[in-house]
Amino acid sequence: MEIGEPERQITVEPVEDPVPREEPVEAPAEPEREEIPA
Amino acid sequence: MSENAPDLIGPILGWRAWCVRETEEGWRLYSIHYGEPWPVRNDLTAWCYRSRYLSTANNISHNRHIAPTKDCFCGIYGANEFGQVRQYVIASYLSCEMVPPDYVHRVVGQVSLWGRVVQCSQGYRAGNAYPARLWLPVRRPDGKSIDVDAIAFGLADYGIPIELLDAGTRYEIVHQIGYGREAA
Repeated sequence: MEIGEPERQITVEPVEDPVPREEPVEAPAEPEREEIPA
Repeated sequence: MSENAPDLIGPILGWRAWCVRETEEGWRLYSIHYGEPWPVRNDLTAWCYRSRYLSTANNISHNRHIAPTKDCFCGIYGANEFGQVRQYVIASYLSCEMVPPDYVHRVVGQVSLWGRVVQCSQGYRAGNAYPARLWLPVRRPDGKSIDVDAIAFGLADYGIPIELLDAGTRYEIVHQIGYGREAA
C-alpha cells in the first residue's frame, strides 16, 4: 500500500483500548452447602 | 514532559483492505500482502519480515529491530484516504500479494493504529493494530456466489461495526465509500 515517505516516528497511546477484548468470565458462585446433621 | 509521555493520544485511524478466509475458528481477516492472520479480540503486533528472514536467508545486512522504524518498510499499514487502498479491494496479480490461496472474499475498512508509529506523508505504519470498522461487499467482483450473511456473522467475532456494501466491483466499492474519504 502506498503511504508516502516517512516523516517522523511517534508514540501513540490510545485513550481507551481499541480492542474489544473478551471480558473475563466470572466463575459461578458455589451454592451454599446446607449443613447436614450427622 | 516526561520522557515516556506519548506524542499523540489516539488511536490513529487508517484505511486498509483485508482478505477473508474461513478457518476452524470461523471467518477471519488476513493481511493481503503477507497473509498474516488478524487475531480476534486481541491486537496484531508488528514485526519486521526483513530483519527476521532476509538478514539470515540472503545474507543481506538488515539490523534486527522493533517494528516499525523510519528507516525500514515494516509495520502495520493504514492509509489516510480510502482511494489509496482501492487497488486492493479486488485481487490484483500485478501487486506483490501473498494472500492465502483459499481466501473467499475481501473487505475494506478502518483500522486503529497505536503504539510505536511512523507517520508518513499519506498514512502510517504502526506497531499495534486492530480493525475498527468493516465494509463488506455483498458480491464478489468475479460474480462467484458467497454467503455474505455467514461471513458477516462470522466476522462479528471481532466485536466491531460491520456494514454491508451493495457492491462487488472496484468501481462500485469506491463509488459507495468515496475516493477521498478520510478515516475519522
